[in-house]
Amino acid sequence: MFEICLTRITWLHRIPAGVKLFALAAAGAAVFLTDDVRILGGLVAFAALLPLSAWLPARPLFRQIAPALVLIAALAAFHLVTGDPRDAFLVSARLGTVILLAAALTFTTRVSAMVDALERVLTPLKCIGVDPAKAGFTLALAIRFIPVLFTMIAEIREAQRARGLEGSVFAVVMPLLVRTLRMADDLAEAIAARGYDGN
Amino acid sequence: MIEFDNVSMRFGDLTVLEPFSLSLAERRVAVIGANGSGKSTFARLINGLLAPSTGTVRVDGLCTAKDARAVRRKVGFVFQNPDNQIVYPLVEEDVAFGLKNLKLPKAEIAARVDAVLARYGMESLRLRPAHLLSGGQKQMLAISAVLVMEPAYVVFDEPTTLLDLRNKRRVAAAIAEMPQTAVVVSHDLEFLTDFERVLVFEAGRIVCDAPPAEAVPFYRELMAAEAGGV
Repeated sequence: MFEICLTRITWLHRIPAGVKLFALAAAGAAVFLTDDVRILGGLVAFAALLPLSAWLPARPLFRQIAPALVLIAALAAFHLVTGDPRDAFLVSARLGTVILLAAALTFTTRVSAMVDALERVLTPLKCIGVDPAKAGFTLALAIRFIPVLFTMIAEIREAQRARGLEGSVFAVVMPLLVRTLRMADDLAEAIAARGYDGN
Repeated sequence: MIEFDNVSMRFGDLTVLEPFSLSLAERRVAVIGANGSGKSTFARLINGLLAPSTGTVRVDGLCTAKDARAVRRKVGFVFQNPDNQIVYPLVEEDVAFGLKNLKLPKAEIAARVDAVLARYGMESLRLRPAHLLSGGQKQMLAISAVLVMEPAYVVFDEPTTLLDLRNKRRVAAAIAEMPQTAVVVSHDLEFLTDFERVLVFEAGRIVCDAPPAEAVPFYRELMAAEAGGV
């Protein structure tokens, strides 16, 4: 989840973070503005070829996108069962394009570079009350803590399995909620202790 | 110097620390006591994470309640669970986080990050995602991320509790070698032998304030007496 490959610098690494973020946002909008099967087919093929063209390591990349692929497969299956293969393709191609591009972005871009780019983009919005530093910092924290949350879920599920509660969603959600809130408190203290004052 | 003047701490109706006054001028001070005895609250008062209910805490003359920002530049804080204090996904990005908050020039940030990673043997991990580090590596990262800010004092809140013996020794060695004044809250009594002063907390009060040779046996007896009374 949100792995990054910096052991070998490719042409994708060299593209500025701001350009990659803009391209991802533009592609994300574009895939939902068209119903043309050929265009969407072309976009998803491009998105799939992008990591290959940079020779990004396949295994960690696949590990990163695998949960999303499961979701796409489930959605596609639903549309196929309800008798609409075209919709199945459109949904798969749209989500697949965005997920592959997002994976290529996170795989080849430091979070600090993404934060800097986001802060630059949001700076003009200061006049309407947007705080670029806080927005950038929120992005950094989200990327940092998603793997931590997944680890936490795995630990809780293992503990609940040991108690014979493997089928209970409640038994996972409640401790997860408590641990997440406690972690948020600890994190707030840690951030304050390291000199972050919200500016 | 860290000075507590008639300090007490309450959370609602619960008194966590009874009023006390003391000064800490030693380079290595340990804080021990049972769970819930007030150790962590005491530690958080030192860098202004908590403001006292009564009295004042001063670090080199700065009041932690009024000058919290300046105090936090002087006093670093290492928490028990490194997972909850690592902010950025990459090792080198996380080490740089505190320096960016100090608004230092990029060249100085890079130089300081290089130096601290080299000093604590973490150069090979600088591009590693933090969530892929071992527990010991995470705690060394947390310590590096605090020490890179070059605080005059560092407070450690049970830094070895979640670690195996090898990593406990590694962290203890890092604490022993660092030039800063350290206040260490710990349950690992065997690592306190080189400390100059040990405070023993019990139910919100400091019940012993002495060198380790005296304080550690006192604490062991206290715990044994409590266990016998259960």
